[in-house]
Amino acid sequence: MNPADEHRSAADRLIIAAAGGRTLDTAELRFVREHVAQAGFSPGQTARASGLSGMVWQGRVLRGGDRITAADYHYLDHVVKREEWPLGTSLDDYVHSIRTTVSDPNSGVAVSYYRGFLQLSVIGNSGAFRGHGGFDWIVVEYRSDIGYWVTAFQPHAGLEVFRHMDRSALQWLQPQRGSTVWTSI
Amino acid sequence: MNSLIAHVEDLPGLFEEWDSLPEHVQVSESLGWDHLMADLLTELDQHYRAGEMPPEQASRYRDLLCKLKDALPIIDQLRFWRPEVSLEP
Repeated sequence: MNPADEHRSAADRLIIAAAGGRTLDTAELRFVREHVAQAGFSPGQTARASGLSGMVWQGRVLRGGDRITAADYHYLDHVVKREEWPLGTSLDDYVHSIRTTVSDPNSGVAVSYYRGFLQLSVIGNSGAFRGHGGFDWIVVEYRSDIGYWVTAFQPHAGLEVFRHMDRSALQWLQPQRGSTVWTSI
Repeated sequence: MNSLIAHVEDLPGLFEEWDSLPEHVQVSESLGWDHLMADLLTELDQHYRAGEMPPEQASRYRDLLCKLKDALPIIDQLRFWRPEVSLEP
């Protein structure tokens, strides 16, 4: 096991323990945040360009069935198409904003099972990352079994987006500071 | 609304490919759909029902409702979030 895998395993073991009811102390939560902040999106062109038909990306016109990277997909969908981030936000800027949100000790952290898989969710203020079509919050979802982010977006309606029938056992490891909105579910 | 329309029109293609997609991509697709249903559709519907949409936009919204209604069997089979607004214009 290389050091990076060892680090990931340790952080993911803590996430699993937290989902099982163990309270993480401040240092453990910081360790998890640091790990998740560095995780990034899954590499490889495995994401489907759903809903992006007609958009031009890297010299080609996309069709829904095209495969692109997960980072490209979420960037095109949330930043370019929906303008949840400010105009001119680059892919690197988008990734930076996600890392910043996850690392911010004021951001809320929760664990839950989504379609049977353990996820860690981070919810922070969008602040300067809010675009014309954006909102007050950024949600980042991380899958501990694959070790990557699975989405990052700005929700309109608080935790409404967490009400999916296949999401269960939502637990807050840390509520978002300065807000009661996020602990209402 | 463009984003919603594009995703709804793409549902048949997604359904065809669903079983061949990596499981984490399926989850990502499902999460993306949650965002569309919980946030965008609800907000659009509030504007539409309040009569706040310009006529051309309202017409496109009615078309979207029809497409969503037609897509309900696929939405159910994918275990995606069902629209929680009335699909009657």
